[in-house]
Amino acid sequence: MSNKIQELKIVGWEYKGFKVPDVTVNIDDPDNKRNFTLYQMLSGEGKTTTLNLLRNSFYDINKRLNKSDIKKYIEEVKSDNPQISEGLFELRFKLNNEINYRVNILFDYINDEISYSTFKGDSSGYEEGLVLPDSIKQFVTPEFLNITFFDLELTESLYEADKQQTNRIIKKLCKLDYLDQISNSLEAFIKQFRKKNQGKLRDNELEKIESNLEKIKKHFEEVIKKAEKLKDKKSNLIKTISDIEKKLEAITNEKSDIKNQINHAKENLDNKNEALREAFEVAFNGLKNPMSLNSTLKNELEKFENNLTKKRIPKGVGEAFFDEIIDSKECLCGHQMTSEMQTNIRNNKILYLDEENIAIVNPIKSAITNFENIPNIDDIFQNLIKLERDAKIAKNEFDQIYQNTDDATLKKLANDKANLAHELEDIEHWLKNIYNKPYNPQDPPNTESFKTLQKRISDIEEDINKRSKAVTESKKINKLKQWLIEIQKNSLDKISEKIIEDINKEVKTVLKLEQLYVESIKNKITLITPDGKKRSGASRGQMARIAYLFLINLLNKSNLKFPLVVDSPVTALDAIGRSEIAKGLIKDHSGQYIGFVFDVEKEQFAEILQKELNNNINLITVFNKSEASQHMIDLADKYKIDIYEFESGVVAYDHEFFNKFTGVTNTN
Amino acid sequence: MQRFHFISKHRNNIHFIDMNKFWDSIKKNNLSNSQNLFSPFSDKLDLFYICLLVGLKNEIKDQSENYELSDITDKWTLNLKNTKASDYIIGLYLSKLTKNNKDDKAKINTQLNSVLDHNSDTKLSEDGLKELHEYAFGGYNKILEELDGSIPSTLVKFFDTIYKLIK
Repeated sequence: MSNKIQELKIVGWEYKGFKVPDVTVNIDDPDNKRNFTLYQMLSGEGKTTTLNLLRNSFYDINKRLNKSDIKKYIEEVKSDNPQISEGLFELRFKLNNEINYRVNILFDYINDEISYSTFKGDSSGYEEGLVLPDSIKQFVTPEFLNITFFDLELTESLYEADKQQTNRIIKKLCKLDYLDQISNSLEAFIKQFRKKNQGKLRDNELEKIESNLEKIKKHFEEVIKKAEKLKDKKSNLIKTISDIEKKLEAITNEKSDIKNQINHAKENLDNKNEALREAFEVAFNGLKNPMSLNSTLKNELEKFENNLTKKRIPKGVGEAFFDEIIDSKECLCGHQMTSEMQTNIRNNKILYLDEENIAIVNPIKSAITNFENIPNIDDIFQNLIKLERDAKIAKNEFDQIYQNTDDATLKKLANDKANLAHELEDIEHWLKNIYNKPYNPQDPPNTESFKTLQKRISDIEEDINKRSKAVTESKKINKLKQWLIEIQKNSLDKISEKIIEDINKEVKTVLKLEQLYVESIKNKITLITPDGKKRSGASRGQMARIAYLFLINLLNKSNLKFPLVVDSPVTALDAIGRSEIAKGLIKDHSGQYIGFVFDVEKEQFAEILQKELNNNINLITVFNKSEASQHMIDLADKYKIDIYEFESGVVAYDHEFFNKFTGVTNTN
Repeated sequence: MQRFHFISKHRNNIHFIDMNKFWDSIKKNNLSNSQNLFSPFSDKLDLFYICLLVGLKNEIKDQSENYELSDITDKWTLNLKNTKASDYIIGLYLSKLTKNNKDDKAKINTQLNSVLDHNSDTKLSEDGLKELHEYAFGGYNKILEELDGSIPSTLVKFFDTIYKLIK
């Protein structure tokens, strides 16, 4: 096989021992020309679980999650049957339509552990762990998998600056991260160079300093990772809190007694917040009127104004007036103009302010003379801390009302919200006051301040460079590294420009009713209207359609055709949006596509795909036998589906069955 | 075109908090869960103005050459104009400029002519605007110093700091 892998296609998977039924699923690919698959499951039967299992088949989950998160994950997916002590997910895929691979993920429910094994080829080639070919491994990072195994309900993350998703994805897919690798090689070179010199110099201290540097660098990397994790968590927490707030609002709107208490607390909170807002406004007005705020400034401005008035400034005469007198034969007083008089006029004309500048000085003078005092402005500033405290107390009272209510659901939601808000506060505190705090030489060795650690590393490196006589080389390496950063930035800008251009070409087709254009994809996607105004509140449908264009455009830029697996591919989209997405996918996406759909998502999406692809598509339906209503079994029987193939579930490949299948009992 | 500027980077101090970052910590933010929801600051020039006020009040200047700058706007905002804040602040600047020549009308006129420019939306000539920036950057440094080189933890903290520096 040539080393160059151009395409990876999923050909099937198997579940054993999960909440999802124990079934095997095959993705047919006749003549290696079938790219589209729709996979239908009912809501709550395991679509998202499957998406995560597929994603985790390409990136070792043990590298991404800590022990407690792995335990939580296992709890989410494991079978409800307590007799089952392990789960096995096997993914099968093909490289370049030739080489078979199988990845097994073993879930140990007793010890809460997850392990991997990989099978290359059809018989031999077993290896423990997740062992993917290098050319696949270099692409597969959590960021890459987040877009190739995409949950459309998470589209919003592409529109959030905090997540910086877009830049990370582009860097990875367009191989701009290779420049980081070059930078690391340069770093390794200078280390080697220093080591070589170190041998010659016999500086005992140097070794100790080098080892200290390595320790600090390792700690620095851990701190950066922690910050990235917390930023991610912060963004998720904000979303979860906002979802809880919506639920709380819905419940309280239904219950009048709770509603009254909450309304009262809310009114109090609003009043306190309003008082704080007003105080901020007045305080700023005070700053805009410095004469009210400070008597010294007031006196100074008044003296300045008085002095100008006393000196009859401004008294303006235009330059032309003096020039005319100088050029005339007689002065205004009637005397014959002499050269001495001309010189005097030239010298003295500066006593007069330029006529044009009067228009600036007069309003300043009148602002000073007519200034209006803002009463009690000092009290406003001094009361700010009290108003801040009042608003905090009101907020606590408001939260308490939720937590002390008799309604169990409401109480639980309120508690959850309070806990999450507390967690969010801690994260924000760490990011703002610890991670982002300024450099301080007094910080302890285990500080988590980015700037302090960065400065320490740079100081130690400088010291090592001096001791190992590598200052010149180090300067050169640093210059090269700086250039690499600039190249990466410029390349990212150019690629982003091209992506924006390509996306915006498609806007007319995809957003027929209201056109929105992509303005920028730096860190996040931002949108503008055709007349260039920023658009912050696009509908979920619009955001999803643009997200699709972005993802497909990006995946097409990569040299590797990797499957695009999308959960809820047309959720929240109207009929036009659905059919345009379907047509766009066929037109623009050249790799494998697997869409995980609900029964209600088929309309205007599955039917368009079938029609446009002349039925060259896999339409797979999977349902749980134990939870299925009789009508599903009857329907499967009617379409001659083998309902006994698997003990706990049914897998159907029939197109008509796919189209007829529904979770609702009343069907024709 | 003449413009107002923010400090985007200190040339010799990588740990310096740039004005854009500082601005993010005090500006109005409707999505925020913090006091910034109620912030009265909506234009970057608001921060520039406050720094300028602190610089002029404390008579501290700092050279623009120390910094890399980013553009903000080329005119006084409507808010600062309508409240006469731009008149007070230019008045204060002119007062500092001329305070040593109070009795010399000719010198006062020469100085005013050299820093004012009716053709500019800022009302200041190139020289005038340069010196105004020096005061603003001096003020910004003073504010940072008062906050131990960091951004304010809350808006109340910011106002409290400015109040102490203006009183």
